[in-house]
Amino acid sequence: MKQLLSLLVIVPMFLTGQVVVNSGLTEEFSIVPGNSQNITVQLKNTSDDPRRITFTLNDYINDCENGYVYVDSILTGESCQPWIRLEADELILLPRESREFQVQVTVPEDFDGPSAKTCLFMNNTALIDSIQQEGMIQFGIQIRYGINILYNNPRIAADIDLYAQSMSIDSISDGHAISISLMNRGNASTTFTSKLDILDNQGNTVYSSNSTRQSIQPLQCRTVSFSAKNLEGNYEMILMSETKEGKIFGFTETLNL
Amino acid sequence: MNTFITKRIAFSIVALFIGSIAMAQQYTSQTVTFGVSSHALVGVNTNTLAFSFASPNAAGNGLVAQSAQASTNLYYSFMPSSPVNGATNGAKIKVNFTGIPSGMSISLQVDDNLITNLSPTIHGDLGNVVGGFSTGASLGSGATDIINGIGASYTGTNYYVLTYEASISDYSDLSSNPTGATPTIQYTITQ
Repeated sequence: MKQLLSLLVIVPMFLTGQVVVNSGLTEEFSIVPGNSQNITVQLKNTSDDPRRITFTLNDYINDCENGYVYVDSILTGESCQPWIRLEADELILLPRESREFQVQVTVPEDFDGPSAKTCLFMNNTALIDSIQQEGMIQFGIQIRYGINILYNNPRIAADIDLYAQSMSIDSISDGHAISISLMNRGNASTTFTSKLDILDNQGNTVYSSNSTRQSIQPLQCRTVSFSAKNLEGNYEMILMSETKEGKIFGFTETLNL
Repeated sequence: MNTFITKRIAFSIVALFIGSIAMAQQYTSQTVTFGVSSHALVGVNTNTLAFSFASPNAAGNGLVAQSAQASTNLYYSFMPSSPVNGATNGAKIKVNFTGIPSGMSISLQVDDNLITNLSPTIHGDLGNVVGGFSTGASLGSGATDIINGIGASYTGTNYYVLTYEASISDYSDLSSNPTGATPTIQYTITQ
């Protein structure tokens, strides 16, 4: 029964039959400069045909509005792209073949920055029907996996600063959706959880909820969202965010719901 | 003699049995491994997305339609790698068009009606449609987030319906056989 369920779940994923990543999309490491680290990416060809895949490295900028903005140039000082040696630039996987792909990262001995990052793309070849039809504009479809490679320098003290940079309140069917955008103004990646408390004018807690844990990179924004139901009037809200290192950041605001 | 041998064999068996019990008693705890490994899978149900712009059948007419729609279903499975950060949120799916023929513009609407009612305890922490794509928004250049906040989750046999609309933005730029790279829609999953 369990196997049948798994099959039902997996079958739709493979309709286009491309190569998938069976490992994480974030590889974080912290080694002393001058040392090397190997990263293993698990790949699987889910189709009945051989598939060609390519690997490329792209730096990116964290943008609160647009997410990751990929750039063609190397972002000097904050990129670990030059430190990376790929096993190959391209591979051909046989039908249903699984294999590991090795990435070696060597941190230069003289690197004195707090962190560095880049993105390793595993690109499937675009699939397109070979028969072109008159009057049709056809787009081939390509699935691409972006594996963020994040480095934190253990020689530099991690500085995390979660800053609440914007808040929005939207009406929902029986209450309000409260979203707060937090930016990491520090120099290291971390994870955090947030807790929102809403107090009435007598200081009684009328709403309390925890967010799920999220990762956040330097200069990246993450949004924490809460649904406060059946509240109307004026309240005070307190948002407490705690990182995995135990640092706590607070944010208060008056709510008029 | 036979009795002596039989007694020695019996003694050896008893000794082995007692020894195995004694060895088993050396362990006061067991290591338990749960075989959940991180993974990321994105799939759509068609290899190609095709927009139909039929030719006019009477002199003086333009292309039969000024816009054309095409849809595809998007599925995903995602399991974050806990040793990295223990985070449950954060994966996102981006879409990027390359080689859009001159004179055309593309917009996208992401319909999550089949996703929104799925139980989080069964399907996990499914993502959210980004901003204007719930109702439809133009796609600019570069990779654009369309679904974010994806935690450990899978869509199962349900899916997002992605409806693209290609519109003529400048008739004078159109060509029946545009040159350049093969037009491609690129779906990227990243965290």
